[in-house]
Amino acid sequence: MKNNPINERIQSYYKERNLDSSVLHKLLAESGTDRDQLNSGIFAGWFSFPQLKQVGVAVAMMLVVVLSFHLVDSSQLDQRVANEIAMNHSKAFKVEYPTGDFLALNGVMNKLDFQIVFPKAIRQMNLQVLGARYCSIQGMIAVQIKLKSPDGTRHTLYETRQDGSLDHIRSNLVVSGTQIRMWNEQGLFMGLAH
Amino acid sequence: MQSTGGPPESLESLLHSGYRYAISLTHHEAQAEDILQDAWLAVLRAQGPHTKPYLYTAIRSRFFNINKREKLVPMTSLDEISEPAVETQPEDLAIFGRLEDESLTIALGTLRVVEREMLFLSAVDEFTAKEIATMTGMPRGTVLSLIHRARHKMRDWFEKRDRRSNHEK
Repeated sequence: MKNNPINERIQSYYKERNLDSSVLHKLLAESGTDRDQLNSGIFAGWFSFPQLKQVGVAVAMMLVVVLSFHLVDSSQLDQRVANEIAMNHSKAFKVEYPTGDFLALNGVMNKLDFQIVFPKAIRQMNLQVLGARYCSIQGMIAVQIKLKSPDGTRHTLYETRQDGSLDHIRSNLVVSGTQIRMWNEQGLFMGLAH
Repeated sequence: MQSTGGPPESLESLLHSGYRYAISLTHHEAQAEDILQDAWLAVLRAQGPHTKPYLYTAIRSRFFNINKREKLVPMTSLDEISEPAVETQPEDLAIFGRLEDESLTIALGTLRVVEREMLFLSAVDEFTAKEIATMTGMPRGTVLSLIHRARHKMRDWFEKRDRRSNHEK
């Protein structure tokens, strides 16, 4: 079965397909061997010794707990929403509705109590839609849309119906290295993370 | 597929291989990425070996679970597949010499998932039929049959396309 023209063509076809570099680095970081992080002083100790990764996870969990207490006391709604978006963004979610057509999502995601809007910002950034899934923002049903920029950077967009509490949120925040932009458009609350 | 005989590969190379294998199953790059991420996290959680057979098994299992649940992949009994001998067709060279990436994408899309998977494992990873059989749990003869069938279908697809193209001229 080896070394025939068919196999060579198939081999060449698949070997031209490489995992997106941002995803690759994320997965390598999960296994504690991301080369960039290995070379970046502050994380060097963590990732040089796999067993220390567990310590890192424990510290991260403690930070989540501390952050939760902070959130309870915080009156900054936009910070709470940004944290929720950042947390959702950081998860490697599985697309439930894969599509390259933004507005086609309205035809299949019929549990939403609003119509998905194609935001101007997304059009201007020339982001490619990969698919979507249901999620929630502040307890309200929302859509989480997975996007990819021309340079391969992953973005997630969140849309949910305005219920009064989210009407005035317009912020650009950075949460744990994730940039969050929040705004209102056509009667919907929107949050973009990357 | 317990051992491939080759040197251990880097994690980076392993992840690229896993991604390509996932593409052979899904025929969709974004879905392949999602399945790979899911499978890789499972491998890490289970503290499993960072080897191709282990990762591929995790990817395969996730792919078929998702698609069985959503009834997206038609399941065919292995008994329905005959087992002709594998042979190399002389016209392969002429036909496949003309293949382009885009045409290959379309041609591969005409294959059943399991046919595309077998073709990938034998052509790209160069696993033997016995190794593939060990990984997938299929009889070796069925593996050979699926590879043969996949190649035959691709050859037919390109022959028909070329006939149509010549007719239009």
